[in-house]
Amino acid sequence: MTVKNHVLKNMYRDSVALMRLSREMEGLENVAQATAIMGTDNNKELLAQAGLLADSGKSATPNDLIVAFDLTPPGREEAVMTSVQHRLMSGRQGTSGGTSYRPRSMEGALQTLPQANLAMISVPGEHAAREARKALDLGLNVLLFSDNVPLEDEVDLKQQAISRGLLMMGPDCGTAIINGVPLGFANAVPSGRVGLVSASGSGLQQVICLLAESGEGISHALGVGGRDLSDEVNGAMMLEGLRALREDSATEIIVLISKPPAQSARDRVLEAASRCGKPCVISFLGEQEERASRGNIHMEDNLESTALRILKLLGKEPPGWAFLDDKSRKQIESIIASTDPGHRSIRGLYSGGTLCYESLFILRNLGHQAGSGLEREQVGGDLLIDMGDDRYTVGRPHPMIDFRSRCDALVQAAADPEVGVVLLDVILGYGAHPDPAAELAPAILEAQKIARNGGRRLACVVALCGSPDDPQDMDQQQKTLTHAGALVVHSNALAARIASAISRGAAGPLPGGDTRG
Amino acid sequence: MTSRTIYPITSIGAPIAKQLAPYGRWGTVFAVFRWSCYLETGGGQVFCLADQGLGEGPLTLGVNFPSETTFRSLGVNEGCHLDTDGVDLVVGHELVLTTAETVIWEPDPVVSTAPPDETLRRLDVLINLVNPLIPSDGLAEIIPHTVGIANAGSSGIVNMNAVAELAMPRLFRLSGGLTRSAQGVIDEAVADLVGLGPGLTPSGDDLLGGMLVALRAMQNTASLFSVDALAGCVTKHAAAETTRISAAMLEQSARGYGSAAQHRLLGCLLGVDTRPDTVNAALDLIRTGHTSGWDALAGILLGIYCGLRIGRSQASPDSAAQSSIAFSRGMAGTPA
Repeated sequence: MTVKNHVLKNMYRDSVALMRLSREMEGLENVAQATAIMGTDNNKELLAQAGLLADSGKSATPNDLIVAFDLTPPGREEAVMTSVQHRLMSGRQGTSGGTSYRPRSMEGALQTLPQANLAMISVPGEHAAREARKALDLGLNVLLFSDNVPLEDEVDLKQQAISRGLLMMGPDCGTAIINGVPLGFANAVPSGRVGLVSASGSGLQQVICLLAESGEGISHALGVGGRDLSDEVNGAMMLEGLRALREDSATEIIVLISKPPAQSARDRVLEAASRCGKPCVISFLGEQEERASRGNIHMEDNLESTALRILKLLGKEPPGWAFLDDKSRKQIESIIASTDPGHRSIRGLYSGGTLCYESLFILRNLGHQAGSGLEREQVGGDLLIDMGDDRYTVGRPHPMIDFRSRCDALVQAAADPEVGVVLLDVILGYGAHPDPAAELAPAILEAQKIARNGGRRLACVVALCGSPDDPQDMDQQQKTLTHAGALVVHSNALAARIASAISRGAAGPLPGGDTRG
Repeated sequence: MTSRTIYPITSIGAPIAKQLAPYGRWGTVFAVFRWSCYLETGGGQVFCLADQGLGEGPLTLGVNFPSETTFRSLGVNEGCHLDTDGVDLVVGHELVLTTAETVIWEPDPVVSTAPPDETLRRLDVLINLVNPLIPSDGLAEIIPHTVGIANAGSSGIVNMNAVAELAMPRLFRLSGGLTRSAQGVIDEAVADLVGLGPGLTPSGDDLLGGMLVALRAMQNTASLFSVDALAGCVTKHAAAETTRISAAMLEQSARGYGSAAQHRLLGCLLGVDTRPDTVNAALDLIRTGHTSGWDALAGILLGIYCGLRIGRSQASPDSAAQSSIAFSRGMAGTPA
């Protein structure tokens, strides 16, 4: 081992340049180990610990660069230093003095990345329309994450986009996957044959996750914002999305998702879908209309039945997530047997607004007089709360990221002697909390303890919305939640039905998902 | 005759603005990078000319360059002078900088409105958010352990990089010294951290800078004596034991001036907290440099935890025990 140090006086290079130099030196002949570091006393100590400090390096001052390397076998020192000098000089236009370049304007960003064709905008609502107009003027498709954008601006922006042949996703669009690129809150799902346009973020995530678990992927998933099918916007972007998917050769089945639309928007969407030439599964959540198939149109009223319909059209058998296994069924029966009928109200604590809405609709269809936190301040009875709603997120992160408000509400629910079932959703994927189960499990345990201390039993039913490839490790999430005593299923609709069964004290009608029609 | 290129200076940090003369020579370039260069005044004050996209700072003159324009391409090299005629600035032979649109940048003061428990929750959320992204270089690996360091708990930490392993016991000492207002301990720990690590601004410096800016922002919580002691030690050791660029930045940090990204994040953590602001502010900060932003984030987190612990220690005679309990709760949500 022959350690050599060269001290380059008053030599300043940024970290990236020095790391690159170290790596390149270690690739040179005879160089076993190398580094380039500023000559501070503490760095000399680091070099000494690594066995790379020679006598010549000890004289370096903090403003000098020490180039240190170990030659094994000895020799070629001059060649190494010639190479170092060459690299340092050629790297004079390296990076930026400790900071990477980040454009501050859309024009600047486009100059840096001229091939970009989409702008993702997340600024306060009052500035969002202006930024979106700028992006459209620059020929960019737009995903507008911001909410609180005036409705008239949304109408205008979407008309502008249509006239330019561009997509205007949002405002208040939190989820999209385009050509496999996830934008916002999105899941790691495989590529496939199903294209989706959705006015609901969590609704979109639920459907693509159920498909992914069944081995089916998507071509594109486009979000359009929750107001797209209002009277004013009249389905403008859902129609554009439908047109785009109709022309997309990778898309074999088109899926449209929304809460109940305005009549005129509904008519326009159905008319366009019926002429698109591809099978269309349309889920207008909670519409009090029979599920039906007419021609290429397949109407569904919840997310689970939508996923099942898609799988059926693709020739797939009903998947495992649609059914309860024996263990879960026994667990439900045990809960029912040990729960006093007087203590069986349902409390839903949701992070996904559409998942909350779907559960509300299902429970009401099952005869529950369920209320939502948005409709009234309810005391007693079944109550489902969308904790991602603005009224619960003032000054706080969204509950998909920060679980404290839901954990607090869960503990509060446990203290309510009427509550026998708590319904929760856990949404995985990019942008969501990195380990939701670690946050929620302690609160579930505490809630159950509180109920036990009150002589009751509290059932926690979790709808785990995620893809097997999501970064949070879905299996581990499920294990943690199950270990805490939660009953975990992947279909939100099934979770709602389980809650209903426990609440009513009858597990009988619980086969899992149904595929009528 | 040489052609000249004219660009506007958009912002200038208040501390450096106060030091520059209205006429004559402002400084001489001693280090040039792609989108920034560093200069030194005749009096030895270091400051920076940088593309405005790199963000504001106390010693920065932000220039509105077109994309991909580099300082070298404008003829800026080591030894070039920056002179002013009272209206415009000239760097070398080619570059003219106008000041008609220049604004003086000064960070908004952080109003520490959040109660300590709320701040602790915010730190938990932030650490959870950034945890999957933590790089293995510099001092970012200490981020999940900052609460433990501030709480003087057992380190129990293995498999860190060499810089972080060397820094850990020193950070424990520093934290303990701050809590006890033990100037000797603080001084010794600072001496062992200044100039530690790779880069133009060594990781130890970036961390100490973040700590100082955070503690200065917590005037109502942290002990002024401890913070002043830390600031004095950092300034003293930086003057001799780190690069002059880093020493200049640390001098500003000691006064409570950090980068715009640091102040924005502190505003989110200590004051108003909304998810987009906190997330974007944290992302803005960690994008700075290779590890500088991460190191500064580690310093900010450690600074806040230490500031809260100092505050609790002062508030109660049973300080140590109480603060340990509170922090243990905070640790429940902190990844190991």
